Amino acid sequence: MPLINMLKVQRAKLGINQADLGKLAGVSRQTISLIERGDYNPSITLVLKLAEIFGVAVEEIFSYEEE
Amino acid sequence: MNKKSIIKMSIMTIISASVGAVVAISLLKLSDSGAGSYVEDIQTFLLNHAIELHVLIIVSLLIPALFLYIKGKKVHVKLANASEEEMDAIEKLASKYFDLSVTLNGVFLTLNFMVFGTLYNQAGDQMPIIIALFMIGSVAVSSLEIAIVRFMQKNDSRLKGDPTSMKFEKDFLGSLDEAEQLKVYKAGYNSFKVTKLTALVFVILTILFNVTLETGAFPVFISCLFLLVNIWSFSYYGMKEN
Repeated sequence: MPLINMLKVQRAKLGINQADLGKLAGVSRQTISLIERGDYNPSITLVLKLAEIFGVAVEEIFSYEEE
Repeated sequence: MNKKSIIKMSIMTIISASVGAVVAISLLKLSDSGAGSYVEDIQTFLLNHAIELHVLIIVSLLIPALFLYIKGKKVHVKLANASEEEMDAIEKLASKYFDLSVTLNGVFLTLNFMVFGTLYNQAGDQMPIIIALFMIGSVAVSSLEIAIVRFMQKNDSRLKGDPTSMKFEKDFLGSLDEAEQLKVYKAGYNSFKVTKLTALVFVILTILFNVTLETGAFPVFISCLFLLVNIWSFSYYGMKEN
């Protein structure tokens, strides 16, 4: 089940780079890059942290497309 | 167990037995042909050139490891002026250099011990120089590993752990983020699979060598012990998680 993420879009709205977002979320810049590319699916803890940083609901960052 | 599995297992047993028989017969023929003298010749050659051998492994492994570490640092410096699109490629390249450096360092450490351990007390007048080369090599290996870890920690304040401490692996792993930890766990599991298979091969080979070339029971014992530790540790940590 493919996971669609709008992380890059939300990050652009907030106007921060990957490294700064990583620092806020407590992960490395590489992990943020992996998530944006769809090469890594974050845990629920990280997803909730990201939602809190962006001030949006989880569904506005991650959703999935039924096959 | 269904019929298909039974047939598959039977075929694998027959193939394994055939391969084992071929290897055993080959070893017997090798033994009869006087191959033992070749082994003695090789050992004599190694003993007579112990210092050159030590220098060879330093030049072919330790120095390239140091070179790769320096190259990794030079590549990493480029991150300061890189765009986000370029950062992934730069970090991947730097990481490749550091990983290769650590690998060569590890191989050198193993061979350093192997050369020292097999030639110890047999190299006569050369022993003091061999001991000195072994000590220098051991210190160099540790220093390079510590330097690599310190460099990584300097560039990423999240990474914790004192590389000279017994708790380093635990502290360092704990400081990694979830994606980095997953990478370590995947590598660890794949390593376990390879090590288990390798240990099993060593057990079989040492038994065959003992039977045909009379190499002694100790290699068999050590190989079995290694396989036992490999299997037991995986089971123990698996059950601990439950």
